[in-house]
Amino acid sequence: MHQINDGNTLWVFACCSQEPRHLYDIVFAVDVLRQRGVLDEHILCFVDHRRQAVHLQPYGIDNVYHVSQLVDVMSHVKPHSYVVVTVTGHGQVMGLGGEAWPLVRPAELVAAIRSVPGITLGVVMLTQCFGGIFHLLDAASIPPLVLLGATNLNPSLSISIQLRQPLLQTNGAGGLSGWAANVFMADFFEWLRSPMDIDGDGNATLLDAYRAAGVRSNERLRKIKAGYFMQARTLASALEQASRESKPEIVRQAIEKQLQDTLEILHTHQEPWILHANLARQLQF
Amino acid sequence: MKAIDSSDLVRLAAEVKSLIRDGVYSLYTVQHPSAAFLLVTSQDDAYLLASDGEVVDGASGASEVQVEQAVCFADPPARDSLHVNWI
Repeated sequence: MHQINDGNTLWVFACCSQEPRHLYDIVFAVDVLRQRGVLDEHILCFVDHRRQAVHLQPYGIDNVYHVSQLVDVMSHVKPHSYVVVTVTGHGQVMGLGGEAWPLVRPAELVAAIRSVPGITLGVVMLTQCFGGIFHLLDAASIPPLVLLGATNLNPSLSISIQLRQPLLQTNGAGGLSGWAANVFMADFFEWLRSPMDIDGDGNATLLDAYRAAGVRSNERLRKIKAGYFMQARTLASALEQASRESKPEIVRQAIEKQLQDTLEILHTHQEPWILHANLARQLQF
Repeated sequence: MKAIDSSDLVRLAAEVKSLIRDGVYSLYTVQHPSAAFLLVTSQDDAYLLASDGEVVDGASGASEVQVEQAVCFADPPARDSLHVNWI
């Protein structure tokens, strides 16, 4: 068995997005890791948001690099036995970054993880859209990897969530209390807050986390989608009215964005996947 | 990060507030002679807002304004929402 503990694992987050909601996914996950006792020196972030500091620094997340530095930085970190990489943000067909300007291709990400000094096992959780482009890579070579995805070759989904208590900033003030969270990622880290044995083998393993996150996220999506058909009609009417009444462009843009997302979501199914499941069964939290 | 009530922005449309609350749009406080906030709606679109949420300037260049703090809403949302994670 492999045992993840507070000090033997490097937790890495990678995010290509200019929308703060994806940075908030990281803020939430880091909060869970800290509650587990993980020190900030074991957490690394790679993002491309141009104003990332005003979103991350209030929560004491300072160990942040640009995504384009990921390959170089990973090979120069302090030795860790385990590396857990979580990808959030926007996904593209060619990797992380824009379709025409991939910053990190799937093979590069895998090689970067394997370059971490001292690594014996790596985990890559792909929660962005089209995470399946990382599927079926060579996971068996040494050091071995487990890859899992929120969905395969479809868009992944985010859902508006509201925390019971706002996350505290380093200055003690209340901060983030709600955002559109990547639903698979949020449910993975919710599991990590209180790991639970799902399959009954007596251990709380990565395979249990995958099962819990997959079922819970799909359950949330199934429930919320029920009202989306009517909402699409309401938004379509609102957009027509906004055009008819020549409402400001900022309003029409917002309605159009909501309508577009609603229509796409109604036709999108999120299906989680995992590669190298036997190894995931051996990784305890 | 500055937490405010969405109702403070009385002149800003509910549809826009919803996208700010979800973190799809970005809202920042700014030091500016005629604006209190910068609203970023995409890589190409940004608006300067008065303290009540009224759009005071949608001209190009707004996105280059120096921002101070990110803004989030402290009050709960009116309804659930979903978004896809691709551009």
